[in-house]
Amino acid sequence: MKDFFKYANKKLENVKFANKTKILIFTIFGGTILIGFLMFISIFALKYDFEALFVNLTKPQVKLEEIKDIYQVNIKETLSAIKENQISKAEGIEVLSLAEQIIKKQWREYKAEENEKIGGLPEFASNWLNFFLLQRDKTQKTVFEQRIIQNIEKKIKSINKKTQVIISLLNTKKSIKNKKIINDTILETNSINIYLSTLITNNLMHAISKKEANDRLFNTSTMMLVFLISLSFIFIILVSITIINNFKELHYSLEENIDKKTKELRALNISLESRISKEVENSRKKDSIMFQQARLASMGEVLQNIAHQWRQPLGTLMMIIQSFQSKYEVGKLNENFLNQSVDDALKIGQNMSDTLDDFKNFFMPNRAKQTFDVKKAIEKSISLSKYQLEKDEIKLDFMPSKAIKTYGFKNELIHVVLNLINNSKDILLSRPNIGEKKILIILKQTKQKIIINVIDNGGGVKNDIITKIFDPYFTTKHKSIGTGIGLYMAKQLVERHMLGKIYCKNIKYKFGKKEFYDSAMFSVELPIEGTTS
Amino acid sequence: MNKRNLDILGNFNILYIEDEPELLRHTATVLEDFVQKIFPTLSCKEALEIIQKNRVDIILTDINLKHENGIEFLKELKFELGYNIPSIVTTAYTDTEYLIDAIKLKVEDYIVKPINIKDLLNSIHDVLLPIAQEKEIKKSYNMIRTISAVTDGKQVELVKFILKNLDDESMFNYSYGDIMNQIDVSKPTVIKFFRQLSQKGILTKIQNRKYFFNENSLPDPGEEIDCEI
Repeated sequence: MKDFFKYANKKLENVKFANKTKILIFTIFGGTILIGFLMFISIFALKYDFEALFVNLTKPQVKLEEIKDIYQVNIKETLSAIKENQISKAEGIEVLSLAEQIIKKQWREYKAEENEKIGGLPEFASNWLNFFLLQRDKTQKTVFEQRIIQNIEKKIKSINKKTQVIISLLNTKKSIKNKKIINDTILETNSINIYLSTLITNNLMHAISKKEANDRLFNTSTMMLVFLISLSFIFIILVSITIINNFKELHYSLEENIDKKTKELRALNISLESRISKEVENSRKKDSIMFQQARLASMGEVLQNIAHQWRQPLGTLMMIIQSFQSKYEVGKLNENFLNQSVDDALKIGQNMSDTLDDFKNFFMPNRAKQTFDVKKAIEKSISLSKYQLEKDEIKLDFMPSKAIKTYGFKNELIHVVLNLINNSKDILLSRPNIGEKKILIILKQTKQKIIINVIDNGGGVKNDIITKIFDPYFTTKHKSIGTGIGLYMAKQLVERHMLGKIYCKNIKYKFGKKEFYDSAMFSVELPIEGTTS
Repeated sequence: MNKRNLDILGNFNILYIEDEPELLRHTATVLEDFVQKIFPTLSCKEALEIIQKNRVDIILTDINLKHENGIEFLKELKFELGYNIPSIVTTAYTDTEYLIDAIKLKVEDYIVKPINIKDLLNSIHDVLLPIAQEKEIKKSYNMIRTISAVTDGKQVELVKFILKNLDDESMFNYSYGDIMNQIDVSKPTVIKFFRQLSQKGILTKIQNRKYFFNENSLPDPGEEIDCEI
């Protein structure tokens, strides 16, 4: 059932509103026509029933007619024949007793039929019919009828007696008395025949009047039916038109409303689009500012590194220069010392120059993609953070696989690994009682990807923040240390520029032979496609 | 700054701790010309072994060592192991945070990197000078005692008395009688001794009971004293 409604609703959804109203009107019209048709059928059925009843009413009269005929033909004529001695006594007795029997039977049957109720119609229907019957003379009729019937019964009894007497007289063969009695009987037979005729006429009159009333009722009912049906038709049409008009108005107003709202929505959409594009632009600007900041921050750290890496050899160089003077003063400035010192100084100078190149390459990146060795890039990251790690007494191990060549932005990968190392370093520094601070970098290659894991024994990331660590400006560190951009930037670089993945999970890792440490592992996965051999 | 006599360094052994091998090597090359012996080392552990096996007169150490800290090493040495060796620390500007520690530890000097070799030598000199002087005084004293043991004791006593009672202007305001009252000498000895000093230009009579003691006319001990003996 439900399915059917669903199905119907589905079908109706596609139908136009105007067509829906048409369907509604058609249904209502069809319904009323059907009802009217049914009413006509039932009223004709009623009429047919009445006609049938009329036949029933006339049937008993036939019996009365037969009784009348028997009196006329059998009894009266037999008696006349007996009087004239045209038939034998035995024949006479036989005919008379037979006639008596038939009369008795027919009368009994007539009475039974007369006393039957009007058949075939239920009570309420006959009441309803009576309401419309304009002629009501049933009681009057009944009294008159009863008297006739009583008279007839009396006559039947007396004729019966007299016939018995005649029969017995015939048996004893006393003919004088007989003749007188026979004449009496013949007279009585005539009178009963008159009574019977009256009853028949009366009954027929009665039936005819009933039929007339019924015809009138039928005509009235038909007229009323036609009138009522047309009235309900008109009413239904009026109501339907009103409702449909109302619907139409509602529909149009709704349509108008919808149009209006649609227009408003469209306008809103357009303004939203422009706002979104503005916001996108803003966020892009913010991102680029943030990147700049992060770049500056890591530049600061690398600069510190460079500064330290420069300070050492600078001190040595100055010492070498001073040693010339000093040796000269004590008279020990010989060729051997000179050569040795100059060689050393040049070596140191070259180193310093290389350091500077590293720095320059890192911070003035060429944006072109290039083929590079991931292992070397990681080593560069490590060397750029070496000073900080040494200063903070953090031991960094690198477990590289063989050289892995890939095609992409070398400096960005260096930057990402540098950020991860810095992050681990900051975490390790914030845990004063770890003991030995360790960072382990593992580089490996599978068929599809290159994986770089950076593991530290700083205890791992708390579960409630592990989902947030890559968010911008999220930091657990003190504001003076952390910008909250490092990991976000790493994520951006990995996901946008390298089309890779970066994620973090807590693991237990065995550093060296000692027990397992709670560790955080940051993994960078780079796709291997685009790798050129 | 005054030009110092760096020759005094020649009698001292120096321990030099620096974790940067190049700098260690080159600085050591320069310093070895001035000191008796230099022990260059990269770590505190080695440094301790050297101290235990050799005479070390002065320690020169960097503060920021690989996995170690020079100040901490000096503290351990001084307070736990009981060595009292003068020390100089070298440091980069960035390590000024250790300055307070260094002062509390009574580190003798603080050299900022990059090292200026002259400053370093002067600093070492300044630290070692009192020790050198003390040694010198001890030497002189021993010398005097040796002399007094082999020569006339009265003369030594007289010299002592004169030097002891010189006023701020190197004047000696005593008569012979005063001297004889104070120390047990005969008058002829005093007169003879004063005459000798006056001949050498050491003690000049200005007026009665007033003599000027002229430091500059003292002979160099190395030669003159030998002659006297």
